[in-house]
Amino acid sequence: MKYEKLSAGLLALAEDYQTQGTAGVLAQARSVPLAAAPAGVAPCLRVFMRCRADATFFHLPAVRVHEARGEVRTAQVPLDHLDPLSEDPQVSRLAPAVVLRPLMDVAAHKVGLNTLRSAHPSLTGRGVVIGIVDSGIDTTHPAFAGRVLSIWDQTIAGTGWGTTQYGTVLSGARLGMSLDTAGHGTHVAGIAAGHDAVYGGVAAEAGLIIVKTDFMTTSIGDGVRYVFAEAARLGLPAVVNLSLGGHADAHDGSDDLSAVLDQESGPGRIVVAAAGNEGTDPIRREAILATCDAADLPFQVAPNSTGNSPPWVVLNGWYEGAGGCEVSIRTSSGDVTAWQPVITAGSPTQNYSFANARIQVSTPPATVNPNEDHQFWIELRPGPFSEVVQGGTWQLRLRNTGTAPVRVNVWSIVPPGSAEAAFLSPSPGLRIGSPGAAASAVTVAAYTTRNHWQDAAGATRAVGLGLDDIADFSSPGPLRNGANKPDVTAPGAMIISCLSAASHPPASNIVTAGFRVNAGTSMASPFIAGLVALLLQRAPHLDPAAVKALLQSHSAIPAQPPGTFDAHWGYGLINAGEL
Amino acid sequence: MDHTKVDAALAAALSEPTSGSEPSLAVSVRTRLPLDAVQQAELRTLGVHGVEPGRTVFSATLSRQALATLTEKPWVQRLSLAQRLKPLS
Repeated sequence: MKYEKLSAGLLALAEDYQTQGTAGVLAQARSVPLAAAPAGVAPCLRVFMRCRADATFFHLPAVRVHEARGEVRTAQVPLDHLDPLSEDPQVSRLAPAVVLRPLMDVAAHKVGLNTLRSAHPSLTGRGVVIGIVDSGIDTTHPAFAGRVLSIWDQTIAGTGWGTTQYGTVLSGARLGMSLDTAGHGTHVAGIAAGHDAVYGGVAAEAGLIIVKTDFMTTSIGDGVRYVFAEAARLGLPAVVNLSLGGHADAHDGSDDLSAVLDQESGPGRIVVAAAGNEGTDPIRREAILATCDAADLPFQVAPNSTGNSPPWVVLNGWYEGAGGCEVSIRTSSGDVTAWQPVITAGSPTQNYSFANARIQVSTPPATVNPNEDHQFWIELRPGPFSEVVQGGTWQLRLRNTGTAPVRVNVWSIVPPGSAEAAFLSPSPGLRIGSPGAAASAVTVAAYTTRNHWQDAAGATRAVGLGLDDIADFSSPGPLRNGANKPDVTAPGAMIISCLSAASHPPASNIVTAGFRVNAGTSMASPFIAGLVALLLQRAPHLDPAAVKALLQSHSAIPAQPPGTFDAHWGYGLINAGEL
Repeated sequence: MDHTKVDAALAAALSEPTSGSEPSLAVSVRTRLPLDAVQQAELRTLGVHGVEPGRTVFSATLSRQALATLTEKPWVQRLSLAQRLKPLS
């Protein structure tokens, strides 16, 4: 056998046949067209063959070559005749035909994924691990059949993984103990690696290692370590997808979760993260204060009458370590806290109690932070007679008592599902928090490839997103330190992928049995994670810098020269067809 | 407790009054340099996860007493409160 003439996909198939016979290759029949054969006869494979233009194959009567002339021909080859065909000096290359299929409907077509598959049919993610740290996975969904290698369910009490002492690791028949009741992780996994004739994902033969997380930053970091450790144990490269985020960090990649990602990433170990969905949300306010300047930054807390006022609000502020600022809060009732400077000795937290609010202000020294910038952390809590933060207009008050100008950035944070605490004059940009801010992560913005669909009942549904454009909700960069983020843009709205049987989305979001529509940078990130799996299949030792360089060099912003960076698009929409 | 090693959010959490059954806090522990074997053993004894050579960021769920003990170690750079992130769809 001239192995050097076989493509990677055919090489694996040939090895499986040589070592395991017909049974060893039948599992691949759904992606590689193998013709059925009677017992005792080798299955027949359809191949692309590169050969001399005038080559003849009369001496191999079992090989059916479909064209009499040409340098690229198609043929049907019994698997036990691959050996003499590869030995033929007229032949220079053999590659299997693959079953092509529409992936995620329109999204894959619009970014050239089908072109990539046609050019490189063996790129399926085979031999690569995709890690999904999310809400879990529906292991009974046919799109993942036989490919979920293990699950670390951090929400089931147990002895955990390694020394973690929390959660339960599942494999084999026990995989079904873990349910994805939210459905988010199943949808995400389907985009990265689902196998389906219509709504399949990008890397449909990749192995899956799942972390059902409790979404705490420490648990997420542990989950990433678990995926990479398990992949290393299997001797496989891995890409981990993180379709999650928040704004409690410094927005410069210096936070501890980002540090874990930077430490754990490396050759054959890639992390892909969503940019965030706060593109239009009034969650950030910036103020530049000269020495002795002061500013009042008003923000609105949803009034109680809406019924969804937040139970707490946090203001997360950052400014330069060389600066000096004092902070104060004016409540919607007019109560005002004292000006609080940086506190360098003892607890840096002061508590302020009023009839309608309880306020905690923490102003530690800059030296506690890895970036050596100042942080202030202000928690607004209900007063003694309420369960929610009082509605109305509040004010964050700042004054620069230092000797140099400062640039103060503040993000508002509320619990998931709560109404926003909205700055009245929000500043644009700088909405990518951790883990999207991590230097090593490939950070992904969302593009709209579909803005209407038909639900399972036949009703046409639509959203107000501009078609074939960056999605309004996609969080823009850059980072607070000026670093370029996001890195690349991929389809994120409206994406049809796997539906978890344990979840209960609105009927309008279910398009057919087993599949639902969803939107967010959560959907864009696994598209790129799937592509990274294909790249790792081709070059298992790619490191984050090399992966980013490849993705960026094959991306572009519409009507902009290649290499142009934009805070919304990053380096632009991926063109998978050229990868 | 060395408060100069505690981040703003953890400082706020530690300022909350405690009741009889003291809750533990999920934190990240960041060390100044990769740790030697003795320091790694100290971390493990306190219940810190994933202590392996070369790492400088660890996770743990610790009591206030254990947090106070850690802040006194010269090789501990800082402790920060874990934050809950959300899915982005």
